[in-house]
Amino acid sequence: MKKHLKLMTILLVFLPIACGLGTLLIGRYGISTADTLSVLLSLVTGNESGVDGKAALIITEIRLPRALIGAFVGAALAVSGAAFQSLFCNPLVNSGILGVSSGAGFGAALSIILIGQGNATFIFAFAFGCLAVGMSYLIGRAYGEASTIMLVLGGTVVSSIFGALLSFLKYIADPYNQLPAITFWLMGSLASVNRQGLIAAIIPMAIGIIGIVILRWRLNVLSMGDKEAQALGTNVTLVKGAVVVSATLATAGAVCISGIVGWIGLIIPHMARMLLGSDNRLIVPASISLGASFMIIVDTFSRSLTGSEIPLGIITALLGGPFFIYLLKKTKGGGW
Amino acid sequence: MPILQIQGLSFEYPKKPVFQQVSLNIERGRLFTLLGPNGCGKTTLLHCILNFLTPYEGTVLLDGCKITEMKAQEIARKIAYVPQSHRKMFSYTVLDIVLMGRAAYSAFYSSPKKEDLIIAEEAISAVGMSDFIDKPFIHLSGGESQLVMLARAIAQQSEMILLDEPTAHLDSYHEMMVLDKLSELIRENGMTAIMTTHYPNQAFYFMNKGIRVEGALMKNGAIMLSGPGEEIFTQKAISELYQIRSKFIEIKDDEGGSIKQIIPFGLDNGRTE
Repeated sequence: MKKHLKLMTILLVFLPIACGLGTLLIGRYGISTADTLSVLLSLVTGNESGVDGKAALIITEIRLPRALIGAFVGAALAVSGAAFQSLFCNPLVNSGILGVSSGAGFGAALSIILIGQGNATFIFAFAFGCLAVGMSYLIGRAYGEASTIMLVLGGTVVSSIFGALLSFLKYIADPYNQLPAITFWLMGSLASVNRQGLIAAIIPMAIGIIGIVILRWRLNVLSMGDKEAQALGTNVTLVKGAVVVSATLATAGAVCISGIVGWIGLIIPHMARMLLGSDNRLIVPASISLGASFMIIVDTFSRSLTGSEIPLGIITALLGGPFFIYLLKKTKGGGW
Repeated sequence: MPILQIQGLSFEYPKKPVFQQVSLNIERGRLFTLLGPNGCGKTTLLHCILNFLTPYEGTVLLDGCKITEMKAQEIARKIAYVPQSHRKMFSYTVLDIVLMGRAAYSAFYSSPKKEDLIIAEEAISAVGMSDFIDKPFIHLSGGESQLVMLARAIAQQSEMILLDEPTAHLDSYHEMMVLDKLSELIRENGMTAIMTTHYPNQAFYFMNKGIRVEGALMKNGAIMLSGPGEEIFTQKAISELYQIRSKFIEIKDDEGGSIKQIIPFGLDNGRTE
């Protein structure tokens, strides 16, 4: 057991690094491994790399930022999925349970219609994602303490309201340029990432991920249910609130830059559990590692399989759906 | 001073009164058994003691402090809780579960430390479950999981333990296993226990072990009778409590002690005593 754990730790530390380096080598513009490494080295040392300028630019301005943001998005979605699964004592919920994705989708569509696609889209998506969670939480609290079932109901109601509003926006959008922009945004992509956006989106994701890492052991206690968690000496309202805020920052930060990318928040925590058991002290860091790696791989497929980008949501669903059925079969839907 | 004083406690759910004017004193180092028909409010009363629910009237004093003014962490350091049933959603190991008993001793942002691990391991060995320490909790039998819950309560290092029908759904072997461990905790560790149960004979089991048992019979949202076990667990009171006909018997056991039992044998068809 101990030896297994050590080996796993080493694997999980190196997996995202390997994926990150690997994705730098793949793309339609061929750059040799040696050139890629010397560009990376020059980034660290600050010296000239001697690689031709275009290749260097592709690495520093396109592939590296995408690898980084992919890693953060994957980690953020996976870790908040793990957090919500414990919080709701339900292994079948994902990071969108409180309506963050629907809210963000609506926000993005609104900005595309009002202002046109651009930096405002990130801000709108982020703001409406957070707003949706806030509304779910307030509805959940309507009957005193935010009980699990009320939160889920609140999330469902808010999701469907924002879903309807989004449909309305699609209905009134200009079908030649706005509607396709909305549709592509909703399918998810990292193509629009630039350095500015990268830094702006990494901040909430990093805060959220760190928050969940700090609270990871309390997630075990929370997953026993509100009453038991309280009887074990946990300020349930405080810890729940902290988990919701962290997970929301992480998810909204991810969704606002990547669009709606489903499944990661559901399947990655389960993969982690299959490897390491249920203790969130291990599951949270493992989800970060696996989520980051999975997203980098998916994004590499997305940008290199065909001449144009394949939306991320399509690839994650095609990979995630069958995997989830496999999980259900393996576990017979219970006893996770 | 009693460790727990319940004074004039009344609780109601919206439009549904549960109990009124319940007053009880729980003394240190004893077992307090709470008996009553289904739906009489036993579990609700436990939940008020644990501050899960707030009564509209009356107070619960834990070591002289109002429970409603205490933090969850302060309460958990004095009272451990063994619920009636457990959510088994995630596949935690026995050690993971028992470690949660240490939650009251760390800030909400920290994880258990080395000494917490040692305390948890000792607690698991105290209930004789060391062989199961790395096993998934969800794979344990009902009796074994109750023993793990007792271990978690031990790891919590509280003076008092609240058990909500701890032997419901257990077969006789596992029932004896749990009761035996509990009696050990009371006798040897000086713990105070409050236990709801449907079986007066469980109270006799503890009395036969030389533990001072007190109790209360709860019916229709009020305490029908309370006091020392010898006085309240009588054939007459139990028959009245459950509206049944019963007999009291006392026989010698193999070691020359006595075994008391109240045996229900029929419904009390409309007769009132």
